[in-house]
Amino acid sequence: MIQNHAIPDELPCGVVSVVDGKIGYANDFLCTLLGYENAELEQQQLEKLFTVSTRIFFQTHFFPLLKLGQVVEEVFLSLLSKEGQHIPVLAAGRQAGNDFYLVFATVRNRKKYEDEILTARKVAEEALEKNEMLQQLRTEAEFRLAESERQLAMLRRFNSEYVELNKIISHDLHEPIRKMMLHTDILLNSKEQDRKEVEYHLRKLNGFSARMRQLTGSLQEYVAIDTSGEPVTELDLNSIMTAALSASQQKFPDAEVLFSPDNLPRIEGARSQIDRLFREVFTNAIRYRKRGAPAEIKIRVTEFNDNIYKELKGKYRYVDFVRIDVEDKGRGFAPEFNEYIFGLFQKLDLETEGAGFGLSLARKIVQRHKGELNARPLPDGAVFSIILPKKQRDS
Amino acid sequence: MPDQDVFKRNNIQIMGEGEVPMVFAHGFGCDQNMWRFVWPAFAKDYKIILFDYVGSGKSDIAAYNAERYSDLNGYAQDVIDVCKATNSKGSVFVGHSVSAIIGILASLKAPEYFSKLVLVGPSPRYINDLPNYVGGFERKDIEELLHTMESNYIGWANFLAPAIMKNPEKPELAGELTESFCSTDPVIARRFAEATFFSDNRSDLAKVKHPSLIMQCSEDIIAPNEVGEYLHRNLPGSTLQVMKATGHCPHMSAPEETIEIIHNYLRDVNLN
Repeated sequence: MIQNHAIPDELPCGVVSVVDGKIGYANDFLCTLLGYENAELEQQQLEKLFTVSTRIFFQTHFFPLLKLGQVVEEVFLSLLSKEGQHIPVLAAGRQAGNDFYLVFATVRNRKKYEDEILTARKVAEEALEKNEMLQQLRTEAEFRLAESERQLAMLRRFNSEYVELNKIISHDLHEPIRKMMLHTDILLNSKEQDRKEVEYHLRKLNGFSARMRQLTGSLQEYVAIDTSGEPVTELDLNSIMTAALSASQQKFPDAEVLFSPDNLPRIEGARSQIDRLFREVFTNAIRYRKRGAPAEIKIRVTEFNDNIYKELKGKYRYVDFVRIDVEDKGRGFAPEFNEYIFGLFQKLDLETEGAGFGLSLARKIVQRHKGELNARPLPDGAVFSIILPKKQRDS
Repeated sequence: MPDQDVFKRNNIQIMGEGEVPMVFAHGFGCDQNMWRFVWPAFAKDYKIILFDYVGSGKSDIAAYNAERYSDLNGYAQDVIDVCKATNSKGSVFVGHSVSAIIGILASLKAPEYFSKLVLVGPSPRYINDLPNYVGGFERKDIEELLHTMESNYIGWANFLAPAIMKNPEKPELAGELTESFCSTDPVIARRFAEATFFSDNRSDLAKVKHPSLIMQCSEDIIAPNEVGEYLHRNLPGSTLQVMKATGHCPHMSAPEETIEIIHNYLRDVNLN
């Protein structure tokens, strides 16, 4: 004769009620199954019943579903007996206010069968995975992709440089030549040679030749970076930064410089180019300091991870990057000029000396190192962000 | 990627009446629904942003890229994309479980989108690295977890959906969740589990610049107390708050306490 009040303890499945995350009641079947006395389970953490992996699964899947859906059915879990044995069960749960009930039905044989299916599938997958030829092809493909990424980046850069160079040949270089011809014409056509007038035109010619020499010199330097062949080595950025700052300071003997550095990491790069990069960015910050005020330069370093593939879509490999923010309290610029200032021989401030060449060169150096150089104005000054991968050579 | 595409890809939902954005990021094994007991408490003062990672919930599965989402940085890019698409500069980021670390990675890469990090049950590494680090698990535990997950996918791709459907009291909830959980793909879930539980982000902690709140649950087997203390020691500018709530999901088991702690932290950190 079945007694109604005794039913939970007689049932051929585990039953447990959970109050505040603790076991309120565990039926006899469950206690026997796991080898505990009833008193050993009551008021214990529910997790005591589970294997470690089931504890994770319970917290990440079962519990959220129970809370959101009130009822959960047909979930595979592993119970842990007092002796440390794993017992496969199908579990169901039902929410009751803030508390909930769970039932467990053992599925030892079914589990064996399903594990066999899983194992067979895994063997097939692994065979495919471990296929040597496949591995080799994959490595090769990865290598080729890295190579095409490099070439794409280079092509894009070359293309924008050609546009830039074309503009320079057709305008910046053309302009002094046009003026030189103008002065030569005047000299050739004037009949009476006034010594003073001749001297005036010769001086003009001299000035324009000097300008030509400066432009062609800078251009040559700009182009030569691509063919320098300087080896990549590991660099101590801290010492490069310090040396670059004092070199830039020497160009402005009258300027007072307040410098607050940050600790820079070691990265790979071409030494003389990275040195030049810092010099140009510092020179820019000192040159465009507020009139009559010291140049205040603050360095801030952030390390983060980013995808090394910038050109190839859908390719991802996350590697270490560093962002070096060079903040100055200088004259700044209007936000719309944040790209203009990197153009070759483009200057915003025509009063200040300088050819408008340094930032273009700096950006080119960073791009050659698979990085970015950006600028944006601040309420009081500007910030130049140098973003570089820490490694140049593919691991 | 255009902002509109990100809205669809990450199933972005915007709620609330405030100006300051508050971004809620779900953890492994669930989707944005898990925040439903918490976000309404902040809707008056914040602009609430909810989303699903690609491969979870109602995200656009076609946007899934195995390479990208084998790395937590791929998920961090989702967070940045969502912040960018919703124009959420200086947001309060609330991340549960693995999303705490994902949020940290995102804050390093795109600091302008964040002001504070609220980390619910965070862990920088789940696997023990003895003698110096206790994460709580051995590698074989995680391999067993992957096995448990696989066992739960045998023969029924609609993982756990049947349970949700049988919810006569709240039919609207049932419909929504069925759809959402149906789209969980076993291969994607496995890869997310591997990216999560085999991750080691201890070296990223020292780089963090934003103030953070570590919400440490009592008796949380996924992120035990030692892990919370380790984080607090190694995460500059962090505040450690041990909760009364037990388990790994205080936002679901103890939403009131969760709300109160976040609320008090935001009040105090704004005062200072």
